[in-house]
Amino acid sequence: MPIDSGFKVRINKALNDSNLRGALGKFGDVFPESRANVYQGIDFEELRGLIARNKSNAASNMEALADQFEANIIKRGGQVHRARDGNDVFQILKDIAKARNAKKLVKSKSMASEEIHLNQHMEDTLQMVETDLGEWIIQQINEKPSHMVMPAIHLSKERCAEIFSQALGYQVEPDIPTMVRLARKTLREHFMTADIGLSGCNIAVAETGTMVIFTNEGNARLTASLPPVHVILVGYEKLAEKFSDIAPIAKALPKSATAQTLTSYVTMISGPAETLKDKEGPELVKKELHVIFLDNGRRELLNDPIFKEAGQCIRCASCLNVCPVYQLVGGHVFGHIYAGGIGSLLTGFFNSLQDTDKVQEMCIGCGRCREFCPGKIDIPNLILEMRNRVRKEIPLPGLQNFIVGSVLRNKGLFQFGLRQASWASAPFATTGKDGNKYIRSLPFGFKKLADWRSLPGFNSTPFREKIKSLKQDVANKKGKVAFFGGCVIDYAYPEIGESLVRVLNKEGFEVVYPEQTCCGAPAGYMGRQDVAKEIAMQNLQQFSDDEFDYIVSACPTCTVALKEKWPHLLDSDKESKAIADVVAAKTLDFIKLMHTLKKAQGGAWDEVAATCDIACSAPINVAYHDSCHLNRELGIKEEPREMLAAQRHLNFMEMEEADRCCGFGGSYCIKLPEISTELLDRKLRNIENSRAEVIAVDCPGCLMSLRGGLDTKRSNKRVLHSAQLLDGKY
Amino acid sequence: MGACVGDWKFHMPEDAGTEELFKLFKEKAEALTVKVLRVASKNEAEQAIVEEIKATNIKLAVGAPMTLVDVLSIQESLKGDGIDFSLDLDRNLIERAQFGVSQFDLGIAELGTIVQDAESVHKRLVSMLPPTHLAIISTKTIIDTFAASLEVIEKVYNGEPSNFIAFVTGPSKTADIERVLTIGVHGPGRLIIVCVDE
Ligand code: SF4
Ligand code: SF4
Repeated sequence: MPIDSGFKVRINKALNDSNLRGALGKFGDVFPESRANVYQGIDFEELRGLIARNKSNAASNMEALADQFEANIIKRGGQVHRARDGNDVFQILKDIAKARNAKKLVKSKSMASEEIHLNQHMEDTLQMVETDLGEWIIQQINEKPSHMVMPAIHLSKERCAEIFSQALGYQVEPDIPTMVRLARKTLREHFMTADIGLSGCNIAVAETGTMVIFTNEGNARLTASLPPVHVILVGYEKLAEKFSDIAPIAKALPKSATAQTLTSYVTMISGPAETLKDKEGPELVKKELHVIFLDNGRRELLNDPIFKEAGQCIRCASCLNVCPVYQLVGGHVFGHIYAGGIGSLLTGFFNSLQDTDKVQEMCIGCGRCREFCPGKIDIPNLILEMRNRVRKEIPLPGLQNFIVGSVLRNKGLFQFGLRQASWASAPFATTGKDGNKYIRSLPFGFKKLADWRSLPGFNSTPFREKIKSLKQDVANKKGKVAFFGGCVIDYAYPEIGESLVRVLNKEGFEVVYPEQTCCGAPAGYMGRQDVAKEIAMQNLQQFSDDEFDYIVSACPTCTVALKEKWPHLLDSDKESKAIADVVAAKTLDFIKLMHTLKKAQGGAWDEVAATCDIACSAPINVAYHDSCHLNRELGIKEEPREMLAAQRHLNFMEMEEADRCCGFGGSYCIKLPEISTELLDRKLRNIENSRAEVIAVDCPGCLMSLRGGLDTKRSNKRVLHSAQLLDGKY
Repeated sequence: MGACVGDWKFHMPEDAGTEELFKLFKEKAEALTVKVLRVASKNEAEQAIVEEIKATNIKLAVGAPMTLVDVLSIQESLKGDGIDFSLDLDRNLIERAQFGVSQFDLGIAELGTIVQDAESVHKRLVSMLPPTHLAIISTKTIIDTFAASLEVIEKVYNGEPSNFIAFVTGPSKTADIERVLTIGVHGPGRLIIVCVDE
């Protein structure tokens, strides 16, 4: 994995930073609720659909809109500059400064200026003063913002007081109102004496040449009003077609950013307003207004058929606030100027693939950000695309590249490898409290893998062998189901497959197990879509049989692969794509299939298990853990709950944060065990705090992770797959 | 193009300025710590402004030209109390003042927001620099939504918005240190809105 030791040091430093953890954790906990409050009565889906459509159209039309915008500004007497990159911006700004003999520039928040390291490059020409409170604080210590909206969220008030004391030359107490008052005073002097004001902008309307700036502090208004020159740095992705397009963004941005109905100030600038001559007046003159259009990779992004979607971002940062990984490490680790998942995408275009390499690896793909994004951006799937591009330029290191490129690609070798694992791990296996086999530690360099959560003892007979001797009793046969087992069930938990067969038999379906290999997801998630595609091809034919009424998988990651990834991967080959579409249409996740069958029977959900394993005097308390792929990728949330709640032997209850990622993430837990452990620990705490004796899951990956974690803690709680519960195997 | 104060009220939607809209406007603004006053006439408005300035206990207040009230009469009333109400466009004087009064063109009920054509630098300085800002608006120009305010602007300027339009929603604030909400960073920490029914 391309995560080097230097980066690991930064991760661990962030994880051990209690200030950071406290601030981000608290915020992450309260944000969803305050956001939900402020969105009350608003149809978020409709709103973000509108924003996404407007922004996407603007991206397709970018060049024409930029020209129209430019013409409007010039007509009003403003000047427009086009900058290909940071160097162009520096030159333009230097020229502006020289013509005016300018000495000082006050800046209100502009992420684009951060992205090109503007301050650093202009220092020789101008005194650069950040005026946004958070930006000013981090400027004093030469840091980069760790959050797009709250740049200094990683600093405690005590640390801020130290920074104030240092900057002002006298002792400042860690009292927030005092510090805010001092900042006002200090920065007011800068505003009064600055020669140039520079700001970013949130929207640039082509139709009217209007630039819209949202702020709470009021620094953008001062920046635009006090100095005689105003420079606005505009990224091409800010372009909007019509004046009325401002409305949906104004409706969403403050709510998604800080859970406010509107920011204190919205400033609309459409031309050079009047200003005081030589800063003080009383004579009035037209302000010198410069607009610098910044490209720096944006045109490429907006012209890219896939990544164009990232241009729908309105920089609200709500994706950071809800990201479980960002909450742990913050924007200096999960980010490069622009933080979090969206940051890793923007970095790939604005900076370089090299710069986003490690950053994009931080995403575990839980999909939580996507649910909140007002730009309706499928962040996790774009990250996978980005990873794929990164891996073309920067291959995985030796052993992993060999595993993905050779072992996964080669069916025989892959199956051989997994079977070897069954006996290779045998000597280390012990029996856990729940009666299952666990590996609690591994020798040599593998120690780290099992230290924080036990691994399953691999089964010596895989499901593909077991099904051959499984007697299928199908009375009133209704049809045939093809089972895509997936590696984890096949090799680690064949008993889940056996339960699935029994339950479906009872529903009148014979289950067949076509010749199959890995679903391709692990290769895809490691950025090797080329390999994932080959693997999809190896499976495709065997699942195309007309006599299959359904194709079922009991692993949501495999379900997503069959249902969504295969048609996408095989897009370029018409014939295979047609087959993949048919396969996709027939594929259902096990719990969804059961729900569908039972619903067709009028919702007779409680009659599932043939026999009950134990004689229960009282129903067993069961809570459900949502797998990220099932819940957020496939949108299956209620079905498992309805099914479980209807079982007579079960007493269904919710646990806290049921839909929060368990930290497994396939290869993620090998790549970034530090992060996985933290995520798992939080999940285990929620499980321990619930009254449930059994945790039901639909994903064998989650099951492996949760069982392993609980075994490490020697917990009495048990984890079972829904198929096992519906089979009466408690 | 440019500031045509007074134009706005001729482009209001038909249902502007209703009792319900005023009530909602007041409720939303007050939730943001804004003080909202309502007066029936020009005279009462002048009176209200004088009282607010007096209650602030200061020596220097500033104002930008206004049409809803007679600034000279305000100036006159305050003189008796030894308070200078200056109408000069003098940046350093405005910066020294503790109280600024300016007229706004529109209110948005759903947000408690006020909107101003701020092409005039005088208006901007008066509403930005002093720690207290008093805005005067006509109750008749309170409309329902943000989207509707954009329509008004398009009509007022015939598709070519004024160079500088300011939307103000509550006082200046920040949460940049430890996410603790603190009022009054760069702009006024205190906002008073006087709505005149005329
Ligand atoms: S998918 Fe999950 S881990 Fe990845 S960026 Fe989004 S919230 Fe963060
Ligand atoms: S990606 Fe979406 S959620 Fe994240 S900052 Fe952009 S608009 Fe907001």
